[in-house]
Amino acid sequence: MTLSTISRRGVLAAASAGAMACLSQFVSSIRSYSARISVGTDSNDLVALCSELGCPKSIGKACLLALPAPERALSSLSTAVLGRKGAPRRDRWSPHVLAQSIRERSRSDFQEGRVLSVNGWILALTEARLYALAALLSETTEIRTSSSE
Amino acid sequence: MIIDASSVPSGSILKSEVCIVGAGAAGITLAREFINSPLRVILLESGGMEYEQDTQDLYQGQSIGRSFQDLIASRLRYFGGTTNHWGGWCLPLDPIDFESRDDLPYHGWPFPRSHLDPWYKRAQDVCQLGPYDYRPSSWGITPDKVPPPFTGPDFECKILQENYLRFGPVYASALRDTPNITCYLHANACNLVTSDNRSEVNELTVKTLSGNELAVRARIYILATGGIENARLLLASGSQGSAGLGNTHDLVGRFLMVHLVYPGGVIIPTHPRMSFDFRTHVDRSFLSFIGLTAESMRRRHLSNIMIHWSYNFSPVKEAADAVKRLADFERSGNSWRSDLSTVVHNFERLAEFGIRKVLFGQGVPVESMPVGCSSEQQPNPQSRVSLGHRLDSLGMREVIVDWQLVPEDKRSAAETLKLLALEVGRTGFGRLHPLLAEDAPWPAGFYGDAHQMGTTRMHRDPKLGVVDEHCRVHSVANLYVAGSSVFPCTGANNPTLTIVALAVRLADHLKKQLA
Repeated sequence: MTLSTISRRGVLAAASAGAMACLSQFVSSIRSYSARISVGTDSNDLVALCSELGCPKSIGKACLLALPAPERALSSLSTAVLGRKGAPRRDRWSPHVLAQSIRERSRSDFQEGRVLSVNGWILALTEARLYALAALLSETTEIRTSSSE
Repeated sequence: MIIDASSVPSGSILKSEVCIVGAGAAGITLAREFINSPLRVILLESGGMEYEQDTQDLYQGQSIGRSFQDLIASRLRYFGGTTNHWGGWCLPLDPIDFESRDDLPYHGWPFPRSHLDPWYKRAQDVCQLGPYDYRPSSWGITPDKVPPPFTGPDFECKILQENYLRFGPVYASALRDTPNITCYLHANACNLVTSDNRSEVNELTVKTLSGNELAVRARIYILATGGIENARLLLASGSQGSAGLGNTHDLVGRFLMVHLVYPGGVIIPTHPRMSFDFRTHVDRSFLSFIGLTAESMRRRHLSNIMIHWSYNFSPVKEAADAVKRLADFERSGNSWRSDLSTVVHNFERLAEFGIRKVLFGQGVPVESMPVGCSSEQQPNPQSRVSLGHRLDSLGMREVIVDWQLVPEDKRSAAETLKLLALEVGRTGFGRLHPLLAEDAPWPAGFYGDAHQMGTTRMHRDPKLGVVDEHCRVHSVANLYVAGSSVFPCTGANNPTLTIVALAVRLADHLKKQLA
């Protein structure tokens, strides 16, 4: 599957509205945590980390860097996140189905130890890919928008 | 009665059936067990009834290994011992702590936990705690109140009881009023004088800082001076030039262990309004914490660990506090401007909090949970206490502490935190940022605590232990050791309840021996 066959904005919207929603609490907690954490010698690195993870896009960028190089391509990420080829398109892209799938696969990742350390945070491989994909899509969308302007 | 040894004429010989050296948790417990018995007991205390700097300075020593707790500040040398400043956390060691484990060298006690249970029960009374029941459900923490992953299979909720009982002030009057017990203050045990074949202690040399020198002659001697001083006194005793008393196999002072304390990481909870904090129940104080299940420790080859957490709350808490202060103008005082600013800046959060509080009774949202760990240290013969050449004011050689860890200590801690990260994620509790990895240094904030243990370890085999299962020094017929120095391995739980249980057990044993 390539992204040329689908709307990038659509995937981003699906990711944001569906799958990202299940993690939004986590994200907003990190954001607010980063603003609140007291600065001490022991926590400087944590402050830096949390500031960096202050928004989903930043998390996505960090995830992207943490992934092995061959997995960073848009096509590999979208396949990995959206699931098997050949599944009915509307099912794959339904925010509800995607969110549930992400949740289940993340749980399974943690169970099987398929995790990624992203600047110290232990994330399920599936959710890390999701964040990375969201960041990548957001970036390409911004480039397109600015060039069309 | 309680007598100041400085007032006893120098050269006096004091006689009794039992001589207990040290009036801390172990020594006082032992002495109490002999109240109104037909046996005469002498209890020797280095300090007075209050803190005195010159006595405290007798703890002076040198650390040459990993950075060790300050030898003077971490202990107290006066009546009541270190219970004069302890935190009062009490719980028995876990059954697995007593087990011999193929995966952990030197692990295990000569008996199972069940053997010690009757004495643990009596130790509860000595420490003035609640019932000997450490099931969380008995303290109101029913399984439905504990969120996964702390319901197994790897982690579970545990509890400890809390009472920082000061043994000195609490038990002084009972000991003072007992005719068969005499406590000598400012009486420093300096040398155990033995028979020619060193199989029996004949006399204990006692000195005061004022210059008196006394002797104690007893049928039984018990050292209860703490995890480092017990070893020091054994090493300092015996004939000149010897390796010390009870040290045929070069074990005295070795296997020094403490609990390893470090920040484990931060959990961001998925549900900010989760509430998982239990502290009090009826009129007793207790604290919940997270531990590994025994099954998980066995299966994954992990040491024991205590995991505590705290909460960082949303800024709405500060704003709500500011509202309260503003409502009470006098309390707000000069800070009303900053309080008002806090309220204005958090108005949206406050409104949401207010609605949730009123409609759903929800509390302040949790932002993050810093996780703190206290791990079991693996027994390590290279971690040791020995004697230096510097002398203290009494002419005794000061200690040299060479505290050392093995790689297994960090591997186990890092594996446990990784497992916690996986379980926290798998169950949807949140996400963890662990602060420890096996291939990285211990995190900032790492230290060994003041629970000094293992330097006169217990083992049935004299080649592996200084004392036998009855706490008697293997090669000396009438010399016993009480306190955490006999722990062959430590578990992760606080040691005082076990120290007291072992002291009560030893008293029972001696009463039978001396009957």
